[in-house]
Amino acid sequence: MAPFKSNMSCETLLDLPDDVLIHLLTFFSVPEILSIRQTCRHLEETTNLTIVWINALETHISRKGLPFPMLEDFTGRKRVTAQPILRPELELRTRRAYRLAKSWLSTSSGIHRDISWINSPSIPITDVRFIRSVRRCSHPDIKYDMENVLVLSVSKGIWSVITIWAVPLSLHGSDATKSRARKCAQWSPKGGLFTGLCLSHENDSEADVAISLVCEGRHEIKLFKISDEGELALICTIPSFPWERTWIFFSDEDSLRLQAMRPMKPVTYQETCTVVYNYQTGAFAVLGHEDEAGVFKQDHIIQVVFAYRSILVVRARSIHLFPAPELCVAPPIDSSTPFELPPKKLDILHSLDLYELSLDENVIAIQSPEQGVDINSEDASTALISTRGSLRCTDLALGKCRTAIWVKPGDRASHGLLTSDVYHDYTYIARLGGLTSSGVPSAADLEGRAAESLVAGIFPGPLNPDDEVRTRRIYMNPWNNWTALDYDEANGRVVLGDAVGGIRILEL
Amino acid sequence: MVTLVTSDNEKFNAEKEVVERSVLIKNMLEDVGESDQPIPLPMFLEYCEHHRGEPLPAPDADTSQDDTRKRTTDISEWDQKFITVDQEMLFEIILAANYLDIKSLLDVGCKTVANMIKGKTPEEIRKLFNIVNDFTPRRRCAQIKKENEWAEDR
Repeated sequence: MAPFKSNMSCETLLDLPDDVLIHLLTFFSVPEILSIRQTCRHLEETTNLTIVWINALETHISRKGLPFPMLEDFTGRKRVTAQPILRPELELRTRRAYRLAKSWLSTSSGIHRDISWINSPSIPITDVRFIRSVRRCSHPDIKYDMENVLVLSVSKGIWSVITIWAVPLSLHGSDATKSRARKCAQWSPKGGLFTGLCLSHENDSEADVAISLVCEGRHEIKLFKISDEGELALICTIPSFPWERTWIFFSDEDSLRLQAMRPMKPVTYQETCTVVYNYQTGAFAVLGHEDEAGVFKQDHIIQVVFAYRSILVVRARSIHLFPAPELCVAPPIDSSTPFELPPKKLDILHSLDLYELSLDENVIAIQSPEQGVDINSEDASTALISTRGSLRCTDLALGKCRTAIWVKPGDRASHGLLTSDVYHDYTYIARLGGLTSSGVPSAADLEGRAAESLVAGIFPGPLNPDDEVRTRRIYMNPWNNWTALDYDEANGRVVLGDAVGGIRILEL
Repeated sequence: MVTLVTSDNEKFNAEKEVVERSVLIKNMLEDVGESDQPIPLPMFLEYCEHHRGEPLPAPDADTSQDDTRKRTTDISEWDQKFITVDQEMLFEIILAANYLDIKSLLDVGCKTVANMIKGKTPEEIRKLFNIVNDFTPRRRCAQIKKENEWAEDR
């Protein structure tokens, strides 16, 4: 038996052996680790160890469920195993995630970086999306402290045009060099108009983007791959589908699923339906549901979620959950019918509701013994009144960590459209539900009330310890011309397109 | 009953249940079995005595959510008193707790150090722990720049 050694004497912090020091550092916050680093050479060396930053990421970000990009990449997805993340980059990303989480949790908000450029002058942007951030590991030209953010924009002038941009952004807290967007690719169908666009966010999906278009009276869907250099390569064209308008969504499988509205042949006009299509095999299925009597027909599709053994279809005026259908090559005679869901009327009132999907045996048990997804609308939803007003950008983006971004219109009252008493009621309600929960208008509110603003809603979760939704105004646009937005929660970035061809990336 | 002996040959008797808070001693006892052979040891008995009966953390407790809660830097009142010692002793305790593998004591020690440096500048930390700034003057300049950069995104 080894006797206890009393000569392990330790009088100061620096006498602690490295393993103890590393353990000690897990109790320090990120700024504290950085302060410790600046004290002396020995501690600088210790805080430069990769393990210290793996621990910091684990303790301060991952375990708290805070936003962090590409976490799965660090744990062995194909892209990174070839060249693992190195300490300087890991440190920068951890510091950035820490700062981002801190700014969400605090009451103040600020834009960290603001980059804007013109897509094509005075041609409105109709859609703008983040494609992905390209790290050095997959691109030898990029320095470890930089990443290339790929952005896709759609503009509709005479023809529809799709453009891919690469924006180099540094991971540092602040950088003096101005980022400049570079045009990587542009594509426009001759005489064609886009009717729908969908991006796949699955790493291993063959196709990255699907576009549905009407070209000389023909309807078709084109699938593209977007390389890390931002080049657009056509994978295939799915020709002349028997339906009028098409929206496209990707599933988690390595196949594209499409859905469309109102097929012209197989289903009666009374039904609205969604089509699931596998472009590799050509098999498809139709999901149909009865329209409510007297309901306005424009129940356009907003989102499709491929959940466990089920498909959730969210439309402007309805939500339906379907059992996962079997795809067939031959045209189906009957369309699938949705599960009976707890009745949920979609509110035409202006409110923002957060629904949670949870696995619940009971709901699917009616149809099959398997587990399925339940729209847990009663207990888990969090609602927020949103204010009305004229608005061109109706996009709303929600991240995994329960932060959402949308555009709030400027007050119409300031344009003289409402009488003063209506105006006061209106602003009062707007403030109660919309911006400042305290009900006290801030100076910024008053100054910028004619301007539309970018608003963030932080739902109760890792970034909001309260029970109520917090809202925060992030940025204001006095021109009131935003048309599209996308939000990358993990990286804390918002991209906005406007009616005069401008694109703006805001880093939170 | 287990007999513990310090390096300067002082003997302590303690109950097995108490000293088994140390994973090291627990393993030692398992290795040697029931025996009269004394186990050498210093001051951690008081700590173990106070925390007797509390469940020991599971061997793989590190990955549990529980750890997140523990890592918040609040310390119970008794532990606070226990750990109110001079710096030299504090680092001795951390070192001993690490050697003896008493996770809860090690964590109390680490939290204490974390609380000491909270909100302090590098210069203040140097003063606190008697650290000599051994960076070259050139590095010091670069550092001030770095410091300011972090202050911005703090």
